[in-house]
Amino acid sequence: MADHASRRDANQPTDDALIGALAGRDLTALAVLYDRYGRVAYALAYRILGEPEAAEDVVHDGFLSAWRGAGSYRSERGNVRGWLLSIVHHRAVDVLRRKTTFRPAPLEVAEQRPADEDTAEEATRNVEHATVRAALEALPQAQRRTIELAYFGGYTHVELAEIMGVPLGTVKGRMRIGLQKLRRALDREHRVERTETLR
Amino acid sequence: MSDMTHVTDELELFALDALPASDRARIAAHLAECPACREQARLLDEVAVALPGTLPERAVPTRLRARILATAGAERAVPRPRRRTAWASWLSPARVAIAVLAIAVVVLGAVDAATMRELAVTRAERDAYADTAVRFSHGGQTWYMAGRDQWAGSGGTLVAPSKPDAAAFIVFHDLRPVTSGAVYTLWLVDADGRWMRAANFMPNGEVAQTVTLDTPVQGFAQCALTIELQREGKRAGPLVMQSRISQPQ
Repeated sequence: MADHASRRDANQPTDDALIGALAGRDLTALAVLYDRYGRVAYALAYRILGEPEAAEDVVHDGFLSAWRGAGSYRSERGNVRGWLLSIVHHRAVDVLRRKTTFRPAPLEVAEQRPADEDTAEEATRNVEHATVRAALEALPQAQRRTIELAYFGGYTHVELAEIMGVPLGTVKGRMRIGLQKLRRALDREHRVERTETLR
Repeated sequence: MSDMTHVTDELELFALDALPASDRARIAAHLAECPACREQARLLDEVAVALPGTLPERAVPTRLRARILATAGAERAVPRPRRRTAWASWLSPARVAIAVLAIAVVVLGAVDAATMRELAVTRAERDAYADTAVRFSHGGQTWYMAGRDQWAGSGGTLVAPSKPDAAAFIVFHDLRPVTSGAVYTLWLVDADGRWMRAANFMPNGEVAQTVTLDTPVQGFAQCALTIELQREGKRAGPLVMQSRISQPQ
């Protein structure tokens, strides 16, 4: 997956550089990292938990976890954005599963963000987001719903099989095929990016 | 490699966090040792972490940024617990308790192993900085004092908590040792230039040191740190650091 940092202004520190600074206990690096990914992290936590206070706590804990564990980050295992969002996602799901009475409704149709927030960098990033969004919406409903309920709803595959009334194997199959299609869409997007970069 | 049974069939579930904790721990343990499965997991993770990009962004509470930085700042101000290397040091009551707890929980399959490892480390760190972090969490005003002259590199953050019954305190860092018989003295200075001794203390030799003030900072215009030979009386020693502490009207 393309690292957003690679498209950033050359004067801006890369995500990897920020993580290195984080390991050196640099608060400024933490602030920059938060400014880059705090909003998407909060949107993710809020989508999973449906409560602003709980989402805030999860994002707080997630960034603090990154602050404490920056030394354990390995770039060969994924980019910084993915690492951070994985931390936040895992924590949010963990919090959600401890509550047994609340589950958010399936994903609403994603809204377009206001045009005045479309800075050049945001616009570039939104191309990738639009690609994923379009690929997700293009999936057959059963595959899309399975992926959304798992990732944003925090359901385990066993729970999904129960609420969807299908065998476990079907749940796994829907996830596999759906993710493969999303993967291909992302790969296509990145090939286009590389081609445009070479021109 | 302890477990050569590949987990390919479960990597989609792992990427989407759709596994219960015990299964997740099992997959994580396998991935730690299996490069082939790890590479597949990485590719799937890339897809999973693209999903948040499909969400509408929401207004983030403005306090969240400050809250994260304040907690991290408090942690930075307090030294991490020293890593003890002798194996016998692992037999401390706290570690034994954590180990027993970890074994019990893993056996019961209630919490994944990765979480328990993180928990043990976090608990140790938490014990060291909890008090300062809690104080920081009360919010309030802060002022930073930088060391002057030969004390450059030292510094301290004065925190006046907004919580009414919480005492003001300063988290110093990198304080130099003082000569025998001398002490650091913390002063509050009012608008008329009167210096009031707020605390005497010795440096503890650690990277950071928290000093609580007996006196509220309200009504004072400056805070200063000097080195004194006398524990009472007027200021006589050299100025180490100083800051204005403007109060909200």
